[in-house]
Amino acid sequence: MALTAFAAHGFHCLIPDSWELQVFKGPWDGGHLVFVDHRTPTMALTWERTGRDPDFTRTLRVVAKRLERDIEARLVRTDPIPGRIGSMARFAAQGGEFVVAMLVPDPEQNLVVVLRQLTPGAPRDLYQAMDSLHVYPAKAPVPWRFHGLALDLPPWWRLHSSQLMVGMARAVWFHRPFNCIKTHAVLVMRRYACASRLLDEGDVKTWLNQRLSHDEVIDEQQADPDGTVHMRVLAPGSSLWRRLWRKHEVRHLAAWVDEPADRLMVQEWKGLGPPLPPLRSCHNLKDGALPWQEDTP
Amino acid sequence: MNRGPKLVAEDVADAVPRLCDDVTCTEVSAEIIRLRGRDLRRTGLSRFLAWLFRLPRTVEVELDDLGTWVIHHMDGRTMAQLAQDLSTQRKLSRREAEFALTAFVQSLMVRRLVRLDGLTRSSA
Repeated sequence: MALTAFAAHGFHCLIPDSWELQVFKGPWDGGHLVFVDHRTPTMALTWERTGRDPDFTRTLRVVAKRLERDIEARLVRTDPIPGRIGSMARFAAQGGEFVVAMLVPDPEQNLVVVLRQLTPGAPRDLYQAMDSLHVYPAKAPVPWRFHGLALDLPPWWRLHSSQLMVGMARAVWFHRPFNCIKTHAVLVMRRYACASRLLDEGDVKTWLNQRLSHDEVIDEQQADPDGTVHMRVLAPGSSLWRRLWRKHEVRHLAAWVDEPADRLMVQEWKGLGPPLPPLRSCHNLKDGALPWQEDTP
Repeated sequence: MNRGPKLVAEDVADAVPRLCDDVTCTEVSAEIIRLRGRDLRRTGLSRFLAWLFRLPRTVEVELDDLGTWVIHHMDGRTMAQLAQDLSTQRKLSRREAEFALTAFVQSLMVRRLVRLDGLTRSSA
């Protein structure tokens, strides 16, 4: 069975290649997601970063109550997860057995993950996801792999929103060093489908030029040998005060074509300090976690 | 224009898209076609306003090669099968293809150029 990596909010796991993300909600501190396989919900994953020790008994009670209400499932037994902090519960319902796993993947990180099987049957995929679950420290680079986006970001980049729309996947990150409230930088990644159609035998530079607003001016522009186009764009100040002082808003754009997938990638960066380089390459998470990098910006 | 409820890909997966009976299909070029619907029914005041503002009598849309491909493949296939074929042809994921196809079919449905057979009442 072919596996693919799903990575977001400081953790990653391996899931079957045919699974797709249907629900993806919540920030870094906690949220939930649902995977589907050909329109059939297969697994739900909930994560929560908590300062206190996880109370698995309480979580189990909540899950059992919900399953009993929704599908009239009853708790059969609970087992500890070998080699991990957590427990695994089996529920019996009309369609068969469901497995719910609650665990702390890394004792040094305060992340609690609950994996819930949504289709009765052998929980092989849930075990696979559970075994491959890896949590990244807050100060380490973090991989992001969802909706076809694949990038490794330095620490303290927090996903603000992500959307899968017709012909495009888009995600927005805010850079908040040490979880401060103020946003230092914003990163927007856009992944357009059918790049060959969009470019229409033109080049990326021309396409990007056509997408600029009428009041934006290109300050710098260069093309790398690998086809990546960089652009520094100046726009009028965002407030009257800034416009009076002739201040400009600066955007850094990078665009390239992912030819094997026929996708056009556009990276937009805005904020303080040096911009991020084009995030073209990423690590293969099937081989293991990201290497620790201290020298990240 | 009455857009109706937004179609959801999961709800219309088994529905079969078809051109409406009174729609004429003209080939502009090998990859571009033009769809022309029937004459719009207008009441007295709206007919006067349409005359005043020179509004068109019919709905007419020109489709690019991708839209033409979809129209040409509306041969009794379900939305799920069409999405599968589209994803193979355009290197899209199944979900992306379903999203795009559903939005496209809905945009033609509101213009009364395409109908969905086998659509359940709840999703219609």
